[in-house]
Amino acid sequence: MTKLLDRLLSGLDRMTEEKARGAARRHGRRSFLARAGGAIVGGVALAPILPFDRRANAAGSAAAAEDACGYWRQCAIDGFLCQEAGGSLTSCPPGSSVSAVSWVGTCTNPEDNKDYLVSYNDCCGKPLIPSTTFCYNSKGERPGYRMGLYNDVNWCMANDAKGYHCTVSVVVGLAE
Amino acid sequence: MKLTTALTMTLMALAGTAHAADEIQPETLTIEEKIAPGPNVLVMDFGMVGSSPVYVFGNEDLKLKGNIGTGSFGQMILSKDGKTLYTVSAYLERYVYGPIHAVVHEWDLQTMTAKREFEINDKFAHVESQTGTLTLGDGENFLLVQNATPATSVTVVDLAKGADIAEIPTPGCWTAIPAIEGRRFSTICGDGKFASFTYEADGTFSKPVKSEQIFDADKDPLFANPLRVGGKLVYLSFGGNFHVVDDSGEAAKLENTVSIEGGEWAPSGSEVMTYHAASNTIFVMMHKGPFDGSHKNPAEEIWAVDASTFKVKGRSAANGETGIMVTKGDAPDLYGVTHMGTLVKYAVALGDEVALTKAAEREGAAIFPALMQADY
Repeated sequence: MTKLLDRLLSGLDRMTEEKARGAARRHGRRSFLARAGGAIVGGVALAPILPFDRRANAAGSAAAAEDACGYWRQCAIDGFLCQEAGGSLTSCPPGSSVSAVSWVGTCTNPEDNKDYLVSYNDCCGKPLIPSTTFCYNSKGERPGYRMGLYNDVNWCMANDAKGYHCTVSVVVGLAE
Repeated sequence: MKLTTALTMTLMALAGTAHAADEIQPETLTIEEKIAPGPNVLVMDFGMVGSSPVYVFGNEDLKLKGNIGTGSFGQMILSKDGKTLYTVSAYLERYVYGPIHAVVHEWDLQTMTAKREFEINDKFAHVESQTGTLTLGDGENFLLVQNATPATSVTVVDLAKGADIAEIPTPGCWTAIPAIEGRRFSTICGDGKFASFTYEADGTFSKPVKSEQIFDADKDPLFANPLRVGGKLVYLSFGGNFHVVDDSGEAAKLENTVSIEGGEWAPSGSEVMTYHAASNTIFVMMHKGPFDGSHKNPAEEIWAVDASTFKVKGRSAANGETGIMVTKGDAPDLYGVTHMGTLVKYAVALGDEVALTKAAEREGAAIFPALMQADY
């Protein structure tokens, strides 16, 4: 695991632990979730899953290269593409908010054969758009016990506006 | 038209109306009191924006009997007697933004009505419905709710009080798997160990008791949701290795690890396995040609595995399932939900060889079928 990824994930773990302890002390209070926003590493990812053929989007398949979900930086995405919803690969659509937390994938760019860290941030506070492309790839993904690598959770969870809208894929560093 | 003619025609029309009314019985609008009789399979349709409905299908022909309306990001668990469905879900005041309310519902399955509802703290995880994130502990007296903010913790809900009584920090860990007896649960952690906790009715709880190393989350991660097989917990790794964990002591303990011997096949899916106690059989969703990231691929086959020897005793064609669930009894049914929203019913032939045969299917059972339960 690279130093940058280590740093990103350890930051998430640290925050997670500190928040959990704080949460225990503040049991019953309902404002913790909202306050958690902004404390994390910036970025997010997300991931609801709707019907689609996961095999068609499977990382490594030849067919994948032909579609948006097969684009190299989408190797671990789980979400609807913001680029089809008024945003872009790296920008949320107007009127939405960027998730305060995200998860990270490590994807290989075939042009230089280097591994890059990709932050999958959800954009929040608006309805998801079923007509946009849904991608679901899980390279390096882990269950909730590795929260920073988990893509089956709503990463808008730490925002004031928790509704899931779409997902962006932001290259945040080199994984070497 | 003369006035007299018009009056005559009007009277004739009224007479005709009265005559017709005499010939029919006015219909009465009613509400069905209960769902149609018979065993049921429940499918939760995970909702990101709006309700996560729970659809109830009859076991014979998968006919829809009705649904139950929870909030967003729903989790569910059915009581052992099959009569009461517990759900936790979120209600956003403005649907996609605004203050959030986490609500526990206690539904009567037969009448499909809420017997009770109450709010708990709003940290519960907005995560794909799964078996380990909402569980019943201590003889169904307590609900254990997985939280994620993304800090992870477990909310303990006292069902007698109708209130949450504790929030137990479980940093780096996921799920709350209740012990067979007592107010205890264990959770799987990213460092490869398990953490076990006890809690009391007064809201106090123990410090975590960590296990020795049980798995390696980097090299061969475990699917987070286990099966209860006898007194033990059975986990399965992405690479197809069963991990038998004894959670009866203060600390969880790894008993043994056995490979499914899948060769070029590996397990995958969301609810990746299910257990039939009467025949001591574990059913596992499998796909061919695994690679990094294929652990959620739809099933290409469903394998039957002896839960004592872990030998494969049957391989059957699958239909792209992402979750499976087998019912109880000597003649079980196995249900699958596919990535395209179809509910599939399989007949199960038990014996030294176990085989599945598709017996029925219902397309469009749900948009995002995430979890199943059955009352038989």
